[in-house]
Amino acid sequence: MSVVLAEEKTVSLDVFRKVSSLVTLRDNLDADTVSRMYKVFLDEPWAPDHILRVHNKIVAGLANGLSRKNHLMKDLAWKFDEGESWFAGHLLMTWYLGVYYHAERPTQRVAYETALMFDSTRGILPIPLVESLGFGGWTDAPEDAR
Amino acid sequence: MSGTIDANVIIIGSGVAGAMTACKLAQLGVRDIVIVEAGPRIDRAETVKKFRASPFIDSSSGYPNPDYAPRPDWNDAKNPYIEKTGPAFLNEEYLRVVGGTTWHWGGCTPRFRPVDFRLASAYGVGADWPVDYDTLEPFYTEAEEEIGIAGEEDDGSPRSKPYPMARIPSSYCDKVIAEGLKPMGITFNARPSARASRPYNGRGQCQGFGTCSPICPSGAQYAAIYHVEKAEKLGVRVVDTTRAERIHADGKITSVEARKPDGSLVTLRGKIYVVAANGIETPRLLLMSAGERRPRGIANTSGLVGRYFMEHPALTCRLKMPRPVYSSRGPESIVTSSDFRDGPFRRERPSSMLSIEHPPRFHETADGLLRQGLEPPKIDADVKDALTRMAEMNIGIEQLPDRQNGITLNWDKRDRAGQPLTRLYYSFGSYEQAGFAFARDMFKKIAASLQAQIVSLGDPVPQFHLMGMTRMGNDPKTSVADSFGRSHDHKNLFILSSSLFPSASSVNPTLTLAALCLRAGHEISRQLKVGN
Ligand SMILES: Cc1cc2nc3c(=O)[nH]c(=O)nc-3n(C[C@H](O)[C@H](O)[C@H](O)COP(=O)(O)OP(=O)(O)OC[C@H]3O[C@@H](n4cnc5c(N)ncnc54)[C@H](O)[C@@H]3O)c2cc1C
Repeated sequence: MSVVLAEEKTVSLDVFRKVSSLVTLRDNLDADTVSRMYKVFLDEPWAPDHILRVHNKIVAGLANGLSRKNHLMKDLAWKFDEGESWFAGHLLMTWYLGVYYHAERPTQRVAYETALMFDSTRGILPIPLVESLGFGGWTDAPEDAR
Repeated sequence: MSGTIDANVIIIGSGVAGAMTACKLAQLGVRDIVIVEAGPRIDRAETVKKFRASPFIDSSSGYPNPDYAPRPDWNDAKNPYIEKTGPAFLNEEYLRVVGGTTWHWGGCTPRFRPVDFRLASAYGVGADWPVDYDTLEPFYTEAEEEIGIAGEEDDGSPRSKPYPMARIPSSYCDKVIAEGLKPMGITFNARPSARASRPYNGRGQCQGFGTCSPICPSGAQYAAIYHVEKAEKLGVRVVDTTRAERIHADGKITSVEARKPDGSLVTLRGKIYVVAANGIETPRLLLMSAGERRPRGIANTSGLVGRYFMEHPALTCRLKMPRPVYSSRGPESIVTSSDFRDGPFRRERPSSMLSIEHPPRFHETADGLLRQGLEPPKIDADVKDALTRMAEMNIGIEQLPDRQNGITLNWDKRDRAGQPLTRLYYSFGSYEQAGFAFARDMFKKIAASLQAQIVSLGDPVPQFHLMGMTRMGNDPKTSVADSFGRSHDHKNLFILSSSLFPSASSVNPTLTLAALCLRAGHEISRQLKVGN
């Protein structure tokens, strides 16, 4: 993974995908959701700078032997400043809830069934409005092999 | 478009009350019926899409809220549609679309018990109804068939016929909780519900989406759009996007003025008028129709229009169970306990209804954990643990009619349609407080019995059951309408809404409302035959 220059005024979809993947600890993020979120984030004037800074710090940390499994915000090894820490949390929240909270503009939905909050219960609890169990499919406990 | 619509019967509101009454009248041979509806028509699949696209997780945000037919919106706290006054919390919710609020209701449809109709006589509190259980029983049976209800035993409300459909089977979570509460002696029954347990009148079997409210994606749950469509097939004309603004009277009701989205006026004239605009908009419309000759509004010689508002305030308790119970699998609520519905205790504290609820809580749960600073991979494990071990229970109580609770109009402030704002005063008395204390104590015992941890046990919240503000009774001095919903003041005006209820019981109101509408249908038809 190469470091991208932080002075750049914009940031590529690929870098956004990478930083999303690093922050969420997932390699299989839904491509459409990545594109949609990329657009929404890039609407913010501060986004390219924050995306790049967080991306670069994590990449540098990984190059120095830090584990990908580490907790991102709590692991001071990444040496996030306050703004970077806030941004990583904001990105994580957007990915988990599928909702983009904005200070000035109206709250926006950016993902529904691909929101990560559904990941750990997939196949166990139906995604509201999307999945159903079939009549009576709720009477027994699900097979919960995880 | 301005103009005049002449008909035999003018019905204001296409919710379950208006639409079911229209069908009944048409079936009884009444011709020339018009339903005038403030809101637009909507499509189920489109609405599901809108919910998925909405950033909010309330039960209204996928439904329209146009300027010409505004409604309460929790997500717009800055511009409340209803001004709240009084000490108790209330965030009301209803829809203004063709078919009304049952698009997003919970579909729970119990009957009242016989004693609920004579609360004052039996326990010395509240008020008696001018109609008793036995009189209403055949209409309950008919309403259950019309709505399509799945249920099991009579649960203290004697039945002349079995439920039209077998009960909805209990969920795994229901079974674990019922087993865990046996040592406390708490028993659970199937909660009668408007969900199809077999194909019924064009509705498929419940598929267990678990989103009964805000919307059933498959249409297995009843919504009054079913009766709107049926009424249209029977020849009833449904005029949508036309909001009634004023009722005119000259002894009898002479006309209704309604407004289209483009601002033009429509005058509706009929022999009989039915106001079925829900428990808040109905009294509001009557009050808004005040004029020089009737400064208190229409049907309001008693001065009681807009008074005696009642809800079923409920305490919700979220528990963390000792092991997974997979709560959000299946319909939103399948069983209740009626153990606390009736007894001599009702002299001092309310009837209560305990229910197990299964609403999906993904967003709140993940949001809460993120705000605690959790990150992957821990957050994934914790979301799963929290959601699979969560159980939610509700205790809703019977609120007594209190004259000071209710609405007035604020003519100095307007809603988006230019109508005076509704101002709602709401408070609880010592009777309700005793009910809340009982519920809190009960939840502590329940948690202990289940070896569960109480995650949250909040303050009372409304269940969106809007009762009391055009109460029925035999005495015109102490009530607004008679037992058929006919105004004491205007014999050709029928008020069909849960606002007729003189007392609330502790159970959901809509089935009882539907039974009242079916009974009123016969009376309206009779009155049309003999002349007003
Ligand atoms: C989230 C939620 C869950 C609920 N769950 C349950 C439940 O499980 N069980 C239960 O029994 N009850 C439940 N209720 C209550 C139930 O929805 C109501 O009791 C029922 O819808 C009342 O029917 P209605 O026809 O009187 O009013 P509505 O269904 O509200 O219909 C009234 C209609 O009148 C129209 N209207 C209003 N004003 C005007 C006007 N000025 N001119 C023309 N048209 C007008 C409206 O647009 C609307 O279409 C729930 C309510 C909510 C909000």
